[in-house]
Parts: sequence; C-alpha cells; structure tokens
Amino acid sequence: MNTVFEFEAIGTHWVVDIYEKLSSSKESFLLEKIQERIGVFDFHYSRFRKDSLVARMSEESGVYTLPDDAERMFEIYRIVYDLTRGKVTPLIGNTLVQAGYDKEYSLKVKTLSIPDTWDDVFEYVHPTLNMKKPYLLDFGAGGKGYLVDIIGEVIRSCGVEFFCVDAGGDMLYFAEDRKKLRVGLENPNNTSEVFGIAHIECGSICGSAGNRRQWGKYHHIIDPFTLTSPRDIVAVWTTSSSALVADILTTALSFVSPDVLSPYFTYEYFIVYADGTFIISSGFPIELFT
Amino acid sequence: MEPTQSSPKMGATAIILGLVIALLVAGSAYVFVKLPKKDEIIVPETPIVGNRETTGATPTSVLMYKDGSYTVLGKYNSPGGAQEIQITLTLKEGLIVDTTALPLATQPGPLNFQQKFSAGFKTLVVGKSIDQVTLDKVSGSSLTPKGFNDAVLKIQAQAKA
Repeated sequence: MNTVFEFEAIGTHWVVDIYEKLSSSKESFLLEKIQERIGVFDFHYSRFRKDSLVARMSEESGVYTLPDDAERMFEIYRIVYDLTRGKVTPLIGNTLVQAGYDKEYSLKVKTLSIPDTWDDVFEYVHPTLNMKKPYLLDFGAGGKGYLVDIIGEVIRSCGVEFFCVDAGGDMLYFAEDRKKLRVGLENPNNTSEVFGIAHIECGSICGSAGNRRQWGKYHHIIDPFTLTSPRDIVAVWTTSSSALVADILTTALSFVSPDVLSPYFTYEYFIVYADGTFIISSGFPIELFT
Repeated sequence: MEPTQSSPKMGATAIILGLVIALLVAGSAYVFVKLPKKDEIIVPETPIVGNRETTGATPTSVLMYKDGSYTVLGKYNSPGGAQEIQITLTLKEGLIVDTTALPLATQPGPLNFQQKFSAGFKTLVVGKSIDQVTLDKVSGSSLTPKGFNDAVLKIQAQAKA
C-alpha cells in the first residue's frame, strides 16, 4: 500500500503520493516534517501573512539575514528578471496589492504603480539582503515550485526515492522504472475538459492559467510596465527537472518567447493562445486533443 | 502477432487523407477529390509493433509508429488541373507533435487556396472531457485559494444585486 498525504497549505491543495511502503511511525514522521517545512517557507516568503519575513521587509529597510534556501530562489529570479527585462520581478508585490490581490483578497482595484527596479530596492549577497527601502516582495512566480522542490528533498532525506508532490497542479514526480504519470492539462475556459495529456517520466510539470484567479480585468500575472494582465496566452505548461524552474518559466513565457529562455534553462513548453492556436516544444511529452 | 507493413501505412494514410480532405473542403467547394494511392505515401522508416503499458491488468499490443517525420504528397484535381500539396507529420511516441503543409501549386488560383490552407492548417487545440480520458493528475490554473474564490463569489453577488 502506498501512502497519500492530502492537506491544504499556502492557499492550495497538496497531494503527496509516496510510492513505497512506509511504517505508520515513519508515515507520521514524514508528514510532520513536510508540514513543518512548508510552515517555515511560508513564514519567510508569504506576503499573505502579517508576521512573515517579507511582510517585515515591506515595513522596514535595513539588513536582513536570509535563510539558506533563499540563495537558489534569488539566483533563478535574478536570471529570469534579466531575461524578461524586469517583467518577471519579485518587486511586483505592491502592484498586485494595488490591484486588489492582497492579504484579504479585497479585489478592490486602486491606482496601480510601476514597480522600482531590483537594484534600486535591494542588494543581495547571500545570506545578506540589504533592503534600501521598505518594499513588498512577491515570490508568486516561482515560490510554489521551489517549495515543491524543497518538499521533494525532505522526502528524499527520509530515504524515500519514489514519490509525487502535487501542489495544486504543480508537480515533482519520480517513480520506479520511470513509469509515466498521466497529467491532464486543464482547459481554463472549461475546467471539465483537458487539452491533452502530458506523460511525465520524471521531474516537474507546472502550469499557469489566468482563469481561476481573475477579477475585473486582472489575473495573477500583471505586466509591471503596462500594468495590465497579459491576455493573449490562455494557458502555459512547462516541464523541467526542477519545479522552481518550471514554475517561474510559466510566468516568464507570458512575457517573452521561448527562445529567449532556452539558452539558460533546460525545459519544454506547451503554450495555448487565446485564439486556440498553440505551440509545443519538440520534447514536451504531450498527447494533444485537436 | 507478426508486424505487418501495410496496416501502419494504412493508418498513416488515413490520417493524411483526413488532412487532404480537410484541405479540399476548406479550400474550395468545387475541386474534385482524388485520393492518393498507397504508393504515393512516403514512409521513411518501417513502423514497429510494440507493447504499450496500459493501466489494466493485461497489456495489449498496439501499433506504434517510429518517431520521425512522415511526408506525403497530396494530389487532387482542381478546375485548373492536377494540383499537389506536401504535408509533413512529426510523430513522437505514436503521437503527432507537429504538422506542416507546403503548397506546391504554381497557378495563382490553386496556390492561393493552398496558401490559405497552409496558413490555417495547424489545428486548433480543443478540449476533451475529463471523463473520457484516464488521468493520474490534473494540472491547470493552480493556486486557487478558497479566500480568493469566496471573494470572487461575493463580488459577483454584489454585481447582481
């Protein structure tokens, strides 16, 4: 019998499948470790709670010592920030709040402002982050994927090799004999339908679509320069060995073409445009319905 | 079961015929359909028969096409005479992952139709009901916090009031 953990955390539904037999004591130990690790991550990086590290940084400038996991996340964010010329940016936090995507989900739109640049706001040399001014950082583009990677590490550290971590559709998967996982790619305009099935051998698949977090003319992605939500893409999926990379690239693909990212990341993509046309990279493992 | 040469080719032919017929229907109401003969199909590599794992207990033997590009010359008669169009399918693990159409007509009329077809040739993605497919997982617009959904419902209710 396999073990399945299901719970709600960081505003989404988690399903962790363990494809190995665990003793009941190891089972509860692992679940506790997973939830504890999610709690720590949330405490550092969530802008949806008042007591988080990012909430403190939004109120006070100064020097902060960041946890070890910050290094990789900031490194990937910086690369994507540069490649998208600042469109994927952790500085979008305040703009999202102005659009109403705030702690209370007020969804009341105020006047939006263009965020400052990375170098104007902070300087980061691990583990030290110098906030030059108070600023609300947002790790919505890659944070969840990164947490999925981290939970994968937690599971491995307990000696488990074969598992699937699924955080609301963003996944990391490893199975014995590379048995493929069949992942339905949901049609955002009709969630009882799928566009196709991705056959995931191992690694991560992440998706992004605006439909479920949409209010007025905005959804969860806002272009920091035009202050509008991109509409020409209805859904994006990416695969990569890392969920952080897969996750953040779904947002990046709302702003730049795939070949901008290709020299820097090993990934595959499937992009569906508003008119129903699509592009698929040659290595994206899809069975598509057309 | 012995692998046969003809049936996979017939499978590819059926797909390609479908595409060619789609071209004809889309392109013009008054062209006459001439189905390509089997020997007009160019299949570069021999298809193989393999076992594909199924979720059921008994593995079933299914036909698999080798990965690669398959090109076919579509021929038909138009009021302007015999016309040709070249269609290429790229298969990966038995699935069509890419398609291209190359117009080969030389006269302006047929060429115009073929160009229009080639431009609109890439099929559009459509949904298939989740009930019709076997899935382990679903991925879509992730992160759907309950609070967010509640807020949207509240706003919708306000808008109606």
